[in-house]
Amino acid sequence: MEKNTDLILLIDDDPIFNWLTYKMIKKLDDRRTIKTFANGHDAFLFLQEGYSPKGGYTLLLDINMPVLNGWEFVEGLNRAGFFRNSKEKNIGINIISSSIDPMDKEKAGQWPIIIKGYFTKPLEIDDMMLILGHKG
Amino acid sequence: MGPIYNGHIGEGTILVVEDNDGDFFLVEDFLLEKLRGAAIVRCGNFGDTVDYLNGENPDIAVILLDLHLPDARGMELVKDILGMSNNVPIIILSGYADLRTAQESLKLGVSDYLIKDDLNPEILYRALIYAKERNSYVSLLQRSTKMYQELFDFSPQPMWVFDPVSLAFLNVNKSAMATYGYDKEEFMAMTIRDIRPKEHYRALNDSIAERKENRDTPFAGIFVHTLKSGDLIQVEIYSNDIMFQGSDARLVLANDVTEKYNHIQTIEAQNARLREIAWTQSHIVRAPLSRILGIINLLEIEEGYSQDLKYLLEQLKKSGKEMDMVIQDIVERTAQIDGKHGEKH
Repeated sequence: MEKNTDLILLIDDDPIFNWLTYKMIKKLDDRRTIKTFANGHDAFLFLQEGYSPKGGYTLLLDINMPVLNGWEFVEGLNRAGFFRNSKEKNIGINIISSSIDPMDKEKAGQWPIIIKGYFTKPLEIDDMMLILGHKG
Repeated sequence: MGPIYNGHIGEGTILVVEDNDGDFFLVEDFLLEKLRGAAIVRCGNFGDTVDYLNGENPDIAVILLDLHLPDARGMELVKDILGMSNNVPIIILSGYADLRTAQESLKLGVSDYLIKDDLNPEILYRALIYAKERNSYVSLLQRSTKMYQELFDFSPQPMWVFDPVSLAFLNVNKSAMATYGYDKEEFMAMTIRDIRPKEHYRALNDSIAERKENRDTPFAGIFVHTLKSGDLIQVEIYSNDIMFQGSDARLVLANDVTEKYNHIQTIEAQNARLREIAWTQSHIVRAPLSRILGIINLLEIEEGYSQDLKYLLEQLKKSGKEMDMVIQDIVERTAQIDGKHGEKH
């Protein structure tokens, strides 16, 4: 993976979590470019303006958020056509749920290509290595 | 004059109520000619007859009754004997003078009458056999009618019959009166609309129309009914077409399920509260806990801790995870309540 083309998007309304995740990624791989968003809406606007089909986007997405929650965000991306070139798979979403509600996990199964992984907070070091593609 | 006992046969005694010796011996001869060994009991007056009928197990097959006794006669006598006969067939032995009375008494339930001057063994025998046959058929019919009437009247569940055109009540049972609070007279002046809340009239018309189309299943559905007190109850309705007094009618069985229904609603409300609690556990309580665990995870990849601090971090993480397990357990248990999971997201 090359440095400037790959982006990591942290989307979580909990600033402490965003900070913790940011720190953990930097500890494991400080070459990564990371952007943080407090809700799905801000992340959606960012992708709408700055999306490049050549880029790679790894998303860490919380579900319970104000303005646009995780599922609304995924559905919004789908409606806007972001998943049309799903062969390229340059957008990979990891759900980082604060809940242990089994319903969320079922929902994640409805997007098998787009949603790469489903994790429950907090993220362990091993989870993060999996997300960053260092393992698995 | 006490009863005179003669021979015996299996199926009950023939009671001959006759004061005239000549007439009695003639009847006895005729009977014995056709019914060898018949058990014949003679009572010579009304008093003896009453004693015998009210005595110990008078297993009587048929009563032959003369209309002129020293202590009773005519229609009064017939009525009295009918009242005590316990449905045993009565055949009147009549002279020409009593023909009118004999014919009238048929209306009261006497089986037959025979003119004494025309009597012969054959006629007497045939009259006896017909009376017995007819009587057993009638009593069978009466028994089954009574049985069905009682099934209706004493059914523990409210039942009624209504006219499908006018919707008027045609009959109601005791349980319906007890449940709805109206007496029979009030019910008979009402239609089935009157036990429905006004706002359900349209639904009533629809359901009656639908029942006309679909008569395969007796179950009509669950409806709201109004009691005389104004209270509402939930009832499961089963109905069937029947003939009632010669016309088309519908028989309805109403099963009061108000308590069952309320019970289910209470349980559902409790389930909703439990789901709420599970949701709170899953989202609200777990959020700060997962933050704490996340901080510990980050601290773990820092270098240069003392042994003590490392140990403390491990313990902190262990306790946090234990608490997480407890929350997870609660959420899982609540999810089992009805297979549904929290619907809020």
